[in-house]
Amino acid sequence: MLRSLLLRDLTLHRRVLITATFLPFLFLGLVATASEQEANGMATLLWILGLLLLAVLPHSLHIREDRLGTLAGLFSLPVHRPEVVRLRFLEGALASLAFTTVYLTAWILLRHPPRQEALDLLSTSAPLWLLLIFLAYPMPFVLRWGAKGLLGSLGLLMAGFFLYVFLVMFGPRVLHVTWVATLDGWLRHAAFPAYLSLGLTWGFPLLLGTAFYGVSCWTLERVDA
Amino acid sequence: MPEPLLAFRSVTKRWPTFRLEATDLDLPGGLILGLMGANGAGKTTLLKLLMGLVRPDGGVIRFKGRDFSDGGAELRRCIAYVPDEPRFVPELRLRALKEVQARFYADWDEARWKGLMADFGLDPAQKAGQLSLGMRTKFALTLALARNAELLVLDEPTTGLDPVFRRELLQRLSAEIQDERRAILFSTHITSDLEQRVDRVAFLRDGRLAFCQDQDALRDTWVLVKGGLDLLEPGVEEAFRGLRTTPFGFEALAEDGEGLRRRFEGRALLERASLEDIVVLMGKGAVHAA
Repeated sequence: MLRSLLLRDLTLHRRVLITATFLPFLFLGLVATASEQEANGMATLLWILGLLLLAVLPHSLHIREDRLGTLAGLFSLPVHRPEVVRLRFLEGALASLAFTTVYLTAWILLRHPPRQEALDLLSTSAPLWLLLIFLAYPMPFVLRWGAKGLLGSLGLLMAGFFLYVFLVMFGPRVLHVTWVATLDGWLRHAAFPAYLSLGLTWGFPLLLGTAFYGVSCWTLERVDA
Repeated sequence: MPEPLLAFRSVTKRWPTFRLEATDLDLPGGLILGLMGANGAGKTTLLKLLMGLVRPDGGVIRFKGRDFSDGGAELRRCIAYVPDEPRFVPELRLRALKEVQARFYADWDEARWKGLMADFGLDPAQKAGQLSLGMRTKFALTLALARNAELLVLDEPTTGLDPVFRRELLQRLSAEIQDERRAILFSTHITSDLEQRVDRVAFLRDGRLAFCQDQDALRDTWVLVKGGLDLLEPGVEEAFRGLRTTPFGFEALAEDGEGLRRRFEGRALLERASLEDIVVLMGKGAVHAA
């Protein structure tokens, strides 16, 4: 049934998807035409930007259906609501995977030898964190409140980030030792063996993502169309 | 007693501004059930509850003996639904929209869909954005009728349709339920639609089911009473289920025709109430005694 849902979205939103597909090719073109130094500078930024935009793609599809009034049609299909949530997560993951594939291909085919810095990005858990922050975390908000939910959840995130920066910069001294630095210290040095540190940096976003998936399913079950 | 094809048992839904009160409704196979009521009476809510678009606050909905809360998705496979205002992605052609829908149903009948499209005067190459409300409803009907669904749920399907097509559609719906295992539940404002084709009528008023009766029983039960205002003595209103007064007299709906005939002794006119009379006198703006 997930396959039918995916094909449904590919048909209904092909214009949006074609526009989104344009993005990796734009990236490819930029990397291909830029000088090596420029390309190195641009690559990471474009990759992060691309991942970010593609991570919010499922939200934009859901919001579009909400605006067009076709969500009732989706929910009256013989599918369970959690399958719709799985569809949205799958769309985000597939879009990000496709973009990363294009990114890798661009570096391997267009730049010889491929820059290690570029390839190193892929071995970090950064994509997973991006997907967590921009795909999984806003999902329950989008499913419940549509566009307002997306803006609200990202606004909340930004507010939290700025509050954190403010406290670190101007808050009491105790806050200057940031939790990120503390966590980083634990992971890097004493507390855990290397494989456990690796497991945590990859496992933690996966765990949080699973939690947001559960909350998204719970939310969508309670949404009236 | 055999289990009806569809059964609502004490189904309730509460919103801040509207409540659908504990509703019990049965629809056996082989019947068309017409759902009547004024705007905001709860017709669409009831149909949305059935389709899982709205979550009930209480009660159960059973289809073929199975509870919707257990197997909603599987049960919806046997149900075809046409919403009151069908919406489609405007830039897509009807052919593409059909492809999307057909993929979800094993009982999809392509030849039948093509026949329906031709009968309803629709071109598969048309874009959904070019269709009027009536045309969109027609297209939604082709998607619903091209399956051999056991239950057809139609929310005001005749709104926006011309009288000729409306009649054709009602004839088609009657033909659909020749198979005793199938049934149709549809809501409408147009009482003549119900009088022509419907076997059983349910009337919703302010979120409550006022009655659910077979057409024959309905004709035998309800009487329209007309008379002068001088007849509205204290206590008489208790016999009425709905009452409207004008400066010249009153019109009332009642069940106990014989009792009123004796009471008024020829001073009031009593006649069989039409569905229109029932809708008007039980609808908003009327005084409800019982």
